[in-house]
Formats: sequence, C-alpha cells, structure tokens
Amino acid sequence: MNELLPRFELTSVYEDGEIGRPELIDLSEIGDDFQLSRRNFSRLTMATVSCLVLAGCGRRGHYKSHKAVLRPHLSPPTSTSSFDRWDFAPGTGFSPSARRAHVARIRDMAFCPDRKYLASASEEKMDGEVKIGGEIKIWSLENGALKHKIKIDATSVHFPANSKILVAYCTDQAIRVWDSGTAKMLWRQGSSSDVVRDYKLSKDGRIIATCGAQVIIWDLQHGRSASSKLSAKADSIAISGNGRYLACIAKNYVRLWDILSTRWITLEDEEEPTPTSTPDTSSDNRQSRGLAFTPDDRFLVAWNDGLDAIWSTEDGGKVELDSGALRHENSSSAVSQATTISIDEKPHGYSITQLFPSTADTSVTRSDEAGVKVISADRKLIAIGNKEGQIAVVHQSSGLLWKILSDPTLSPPEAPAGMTNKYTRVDSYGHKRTFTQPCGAPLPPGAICTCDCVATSSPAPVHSSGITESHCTCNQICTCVPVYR
Amino acid sequence: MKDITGTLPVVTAETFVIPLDGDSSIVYAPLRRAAFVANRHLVNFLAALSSGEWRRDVDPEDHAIEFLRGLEILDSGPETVPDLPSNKVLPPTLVTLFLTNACNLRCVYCYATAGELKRETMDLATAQAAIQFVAQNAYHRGEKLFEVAYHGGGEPTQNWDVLIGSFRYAQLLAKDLGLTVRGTCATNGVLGRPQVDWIIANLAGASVSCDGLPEVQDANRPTVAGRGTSKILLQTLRRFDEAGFPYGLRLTVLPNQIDQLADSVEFLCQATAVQRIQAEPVYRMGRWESRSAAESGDFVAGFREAKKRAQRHGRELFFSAARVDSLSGHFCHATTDLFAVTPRGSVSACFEVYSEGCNLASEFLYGNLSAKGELCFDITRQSRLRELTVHNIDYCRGCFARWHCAGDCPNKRLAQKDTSGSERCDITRELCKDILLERIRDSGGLFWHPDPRQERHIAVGED
Repeated sequence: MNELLPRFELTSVYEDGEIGRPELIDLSEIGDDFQLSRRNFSRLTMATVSCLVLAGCGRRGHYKSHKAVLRPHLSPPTSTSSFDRWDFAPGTGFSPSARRAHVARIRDMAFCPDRKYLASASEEKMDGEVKIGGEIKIWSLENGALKHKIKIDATSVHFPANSKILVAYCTDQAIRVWDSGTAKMLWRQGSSSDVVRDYKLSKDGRIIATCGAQVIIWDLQHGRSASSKLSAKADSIAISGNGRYLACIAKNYVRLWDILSTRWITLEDEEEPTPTSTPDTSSDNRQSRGLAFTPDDRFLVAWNDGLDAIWSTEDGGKVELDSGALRHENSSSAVSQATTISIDEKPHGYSITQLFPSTADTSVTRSDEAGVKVISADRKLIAIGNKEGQIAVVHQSSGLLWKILSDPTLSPPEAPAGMTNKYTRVDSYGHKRTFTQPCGAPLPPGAICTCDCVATSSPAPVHSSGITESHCTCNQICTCVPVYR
Repeated sequence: MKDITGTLPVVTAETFVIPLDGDSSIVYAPLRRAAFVANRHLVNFLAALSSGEWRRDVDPEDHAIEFLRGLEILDSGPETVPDLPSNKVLPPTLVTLFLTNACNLRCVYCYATAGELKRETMDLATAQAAIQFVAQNAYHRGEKLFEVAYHGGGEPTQNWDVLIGSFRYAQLLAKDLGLTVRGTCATNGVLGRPQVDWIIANLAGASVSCDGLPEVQDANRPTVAGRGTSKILLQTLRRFDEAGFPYGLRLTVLPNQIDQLADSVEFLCQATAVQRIQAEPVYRMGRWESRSAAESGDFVAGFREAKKRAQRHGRELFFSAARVDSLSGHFCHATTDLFAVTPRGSVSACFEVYSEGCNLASEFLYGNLSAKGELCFDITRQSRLRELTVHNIDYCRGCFARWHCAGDCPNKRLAQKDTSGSERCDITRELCKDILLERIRDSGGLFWHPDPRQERHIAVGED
C-alpha cells in the first residue's frame, strides 16, 4: 500500500532564498538513459526559448504557426476565430462564479473608437417587486475600472466616430446623448407622443437621423436639427457611407433624400406617398422591409420578402436586374426572416447577403438572448457579455482573456441550476464531501479553494459568530473545481 | 515582448512539478498538453506567480511570461475538466459476453481461478437477447455499427457453439436492421485450426494473452493436463500474421520473471508481427491472491529495458495506466456503463466481475436479463458506478498522472477498501514521467505542446 499522498502541485522547490534566472533544460542532446542521468544538460536562456515558442520552432512536426501556439482551449480545434472561441455559456469561457458587471442580461455594448472606453447596457428586470438593472455603465479600458453608471433602460449604445459622446436608444423609444467623459446628458429626442421608431448614425459621427412621426437629421454634438424636418413618416431609415444620402422606408414607399442639396430624389417606379400614407405600425411588416446603400454609395438597395429593388442614388433610376441577379441561396420565406443585409463590393459587382439572427455577421457583432459580443474598431479587443451580467474582454488575436469587468458593488451570480459547486454528499466510499462555493463566496470551514487563477484565499474578518471564514478573492475567469474536506 | 497590460499574469492551468535530479524538474500541465524541464528558478518563478507574486526582476523582458503563455499555462482561460460525472449516458451499442468460466488452461495466476469453480456457460438465448438489445439501441440511435465482444472469466472459445451461434445471429440481425456488426474476442490463443480460421474470417480483432519466451509461457500458462502451450500459441499468432488479422498481446509479469521481460518482448517482436504489447505486473487476485507482488521498482526498470527493445523493432510496449495520450476521468468502461453479460444473464460493469459469485458482484453487477429476455437495470447501482471516477478520489488530487490513469482500476480500488494509492501508482508515475521526457526530447528537446489536431488520443478502454 502506498500511504504517502502524491504531492506534485505547483509549489516552490529547492527553496534556499537564492533568486536566479529562470531557465529551460534542453533534452535534445541527451541519450536514451535520460531517466537516470541528466547531469550534462545544456542550458538555454528563456529569451531564446521564448523566440522558439513564438516562432513555432523547437519541435518536430507539431506546430505550424504562432497562432497554433496561442490557441485557447475554449472551443473545438476546428474553430479559427477567437470571436467564436468565447461563448456566453458557463464552461465555454465564463465561470458561473465570475464577478458581474451588471445585475441583469447585457443587451448591448460598444467600444469607444479610440478604445479607451467600453459602454455596456443591461436590461431592466423585476427582483420581487423591485426593478433592478436597466443601467448603462462606462468602463475604462486602461484598467478595467468602472467609470460611470447611468440609470436608464437602453436597448443599444453607440460611441460615434470622432466625438466624445455616448448615444443610446432607450426602451421608452427615445434617443439620449451623454458626454462620455462626465456621464452628463447632453440632449434627448423622443417622447411618449413622438417616439423614435428608428435611427441611424452617420459614419463620420457628425449627424444622427431619427424617424417616427417625421424624419429628422440632427447635429449629434449639439442636438440641433441639422436640416429642416423632412415631411415624411418612416419605419426605417439608412444613411449612406459618405453621409450625403438619407433613405426612408415605410410599408408603402421608399424615398431618398439628398442631404447636401436638401431635396428629394425621385425613385423610379416608386410612388410618391399620398397624404394618407402612413407607416405601417405592425412590427411584422416593419421587420420584413429594409434598406442599405452599396459601399460606394452609388446604389440604394431595398428588400422586402426578397430583394426588392436597386436604384441609382445619382438620379433615382431603377437598376434592371435579370433573373440571375435575383437568384438566392435561400428561399423567399427565409429571406423574409433576415434582420439586415450586408453589401460588399466585388470586382464584378456587389455581393448582397442576408444576415439572419443566428448567423449575424460574427466578425462585427453578435447579439441574442444569450448575450452580446462586440469587437473594437481597431479589431484588437472583443467584449463578450452574457445573460448573467458578466463581461469578459479578450484579445482578438489570441483569444486570451484581458479582463473580467466587474462592478465591485455586485456579488457574483448564483450558479445556474446544475452548475452549482456547493453541496455536500456521501460518495461510494462513504466519504462525506463538501464542494466549494462560487468564487467570492465564503468557503466552508476547512475547505480549500484550488482555483488556479486566484492569488490567495484571503482571510476575512472574524464574524460576529466567532467563525473565521476564507474568501476566494478571484475576480478573473476561474477554473474552480470542487474540493474536498 | 513586454507585457502591455501590466496586469498580473494568471496561472490558468492545473500545473504539476515532477522533481528530477539536481535542481531540475518537469513542469507539466496535463490539460494543456504542455511539459518542459525547468531549473528551480523557473519553477519558483511560476510558483510565485500562482501565489500572486510577479518576480519581474528575474525576467525583465517577460520572456518567461511569454513562454508560459505560449504553452497556455498563463492567461489562457479555463481548462476543460475531462469527463465530468454525468447521468447523460446513451444506451449501449457494445455488448461483452462472458460466455463461460471454463478454460482449457490452468494459468498459475488466473484472476478467475478458471476451471476450479462450478462450470457456468451462457446459453444461446441469453446471448441473443443481449445482442438484440445493443443492436436495437444502435438502430434507434442512428448508428451504423454495433459491437459484440467475447471475454472471460474463462476462455470464450470453450463455449464454441454459443460463440459462433450468437455471432451468426448478430450478423443476421445487423443485416435486417441495415447495420454492421463488429466482433472481437479475448483469448488465450490455444485454439484448434478451425477455430483460428473462424476468428480470422468473422471477427475484427483479438486480444491474446501471451507471456513471452516459450519457457515463461509454458511455466505460467499450461494446459489442464499441465503441458506447455507456447508452441500452439505461436501457431495461432503466425496464422493471424499470415492473414493480416489485427491482434494485440497482453503479457503478465511475475515477480521472478521481471528479468526476462525484455527478452520476452524481444522474442515476441522477432517471432510475430504484433504491433502493440501490453505488459502488466501480475494481479494479486484469483490464484495469485496470496503470492508476492511484481509491482516494484524492478518492474519499472525491466519495463524500460523491454520498451527500448520493442522500439528498436518499431513496436509499442505499454502499461495500461501510463497513457499520456489519454485525458480522462475514466480508467475503463466500468464507470461508463460497460454492458457485459454473465453466463446467468447478470449485467456487469467490470471484466473482473464475470459471475454472480465474484468479489464485489454487489458493486459491479447492475442489472439482469429476465427469463422473458427483458433487461432490468439497477439505476442506483449504475449511478454509484459512474461516480467511481478520478474526480472523486482524494488521493489522486495532487498527482500529475491523474488524468492519464484516471484513478486506475476501480475494482482494485474498491477491493482494497480504501482510497489511498497502490504500488501500481508508483509504476504509473514513473512510466508517465518517462513518456513526458520522451515527448519533450522528440519535440526538439525544450518543451512539448502538441497541436491537438495532430494528436492521437486513446479512447477509454482501448487498451
């Protein structure tokens, strides 16, 4: 019987107080008897080896690229994008016990163009009879600290280009604009009698267009109307990439406004709205019709249960499409479920792609009931928020975690059903086993936290009961495993 | 490359330190498939990081940090713990039939003391009912294949009529259901020519017990009449080789034969075309229960020498628990609902519990086949078996080999009535350590961290 417990855990060895240079030992020149003798090892410096790791050298037929060296173990090996490697579910990136940024599901997030801030918006929900959540939080991306909290129930947030403001579309169907540095509200648009049905920001961050009872173009910085209100009602709008054109769409018509010359451009075959034409208020119809400009702004594309029409923005002339051009991979019923379309310029024309809720362009953003992922404009960071209110920021290139954003006033979430690691049971050997609690929670007396990413299990103040508890201080994605007493 | 974030690197891998000699140690992160040999300063640097201390003065350019990140030991998110206990188990599509406890040999160490107990043989109806169960499972699961394996306690070919009759039934059933059946057997190889021909023609593989040098084989594994079996066994293996029939050899080492292990392996490599040989120290059970153990440092030394010989012939010698290619919570299928049927129709989760009279039958028999041919399972017992994984063994918690041996044989663990380790643990650790050093050396000498897409993983129970 082997009575001695095997103790091979990571711990200091041959500790004599001497601090020396970390070195690897090279086995390449050792013969078959290396199990017994390792006295003639040549030593390499870590610098050399680090270069070898990063260059994918130092091995025979194992590595092919630097990327392979840095692969995270968060996804099947077939996945190549770090965007896909992190998922919202516990165990696929998030620990159920990681600290939280919000108390409720993350609805939307946005990176500041200069990547100094991240804004996150959570939904509002009822906790008993108390409303909780419904907040926008602004985080510093220099150290992950929470900078500002704004109590508002927003569905989407944006940092427009070339400005220091934050724009949010809220559940009361109003647009609100804040100074992102001070969290002071600058202006709002929309009220209960004049709701904003859709809005678009121009790429240069200079203007925002809203639609509802009327279409309005705003100077984003100051909240002033940048042009006269357009006498049109619309369900949805689009702004061309160069900021020159504004298109409006309702159930019955499509219209194109030249912002520069402040005039409507007549679209061929598109009837002018009659005074009685009103936007369709049924959400089904609104969702099935959409607009987009081609990347070079030369054409306006409308779809409605399939590709609807393409017009030239120059003169409103309709582009003739032969049947081949209208060929779709998907059936028309599938096309009608598209939430948006993506248009890419190709050498032979344009590639028009319908994006569906489940396959929305993951290289840019993804948002659903489970959570939301966004990537920074310089494509260096990805933020992932989940329905537990947790946010992870990871490096896009490697998929490695940079930081878990946490609001220090919030406790970690309760582990979802089936995921708890806090319980006591008797196993087949008759041993009573106590499992740890989630990170941040008091550990059961006598238990030890074996979480690899926690620096220490720090002693907490003595309770009034006289019992001293240890708390896991982990605030990173953690690898806590059950431990036993 | 300097760390740009300035945040404390986090040790995100379960990392072990395996002392070598002098001041060097293997640093091993099994779930990251990463290992290297480090001097004590590197070990201590990493240990300090895990305690929240970043000794930047000894690594001012962050080379060690980048290296450790490259191996996914730092800052790489959570690890996937293998095979967390789950009750989501699919109905089996593989049945193991213990056809009989009778045997034509009287091996000196037989774990089943075959031939000494009242003879039990499985009838055809029992075999057919069990086969029908897995065939239907495969059909309903949309699988293309189901498997039938023939195994001990005794020699399965001693119930020859039921063996060939049941496999014929399996073939017909497979045809009816549009499936394929794959058959395998464990055998002592002391077979008549027609039996060998039938096995080659019908089965997909065999595991043959064979102790190596003729004098060792004859001493350890005589016939009922006490005659040697090496000659007839070699005839069987040569027939297998001529037909290109896939088989593996399982070699049992007695304490007084450790010195001959290398010669035995050499002999088998020269005399046969076998590719994989499993060598195990004799189990102290059955006829060898009260005899001396072979689980010792001598076995490790003998194994190392034998392994070198096998490698010279391009063959593989392995020990069942030292499987660095495997990351698992399960040593064998006992914890994943092995569906084996005894001659009397009980359902067993363990190859060593082949009848109702075996030790630990109350632990490993978890169902039975009724007279009507219906299968009933004891769900409570089945759930208990599923918990016998390495996740639940305190003793293994600090061991670097725990995801490889997965706690070793649950039957032997329960038999020893405590959860501390055995001498087998020492063998496992030594041989795993050897494999790690080999891997590091074969990967260029500095570190081992293979691309998972190019790795060969061994499934549980494959050995």
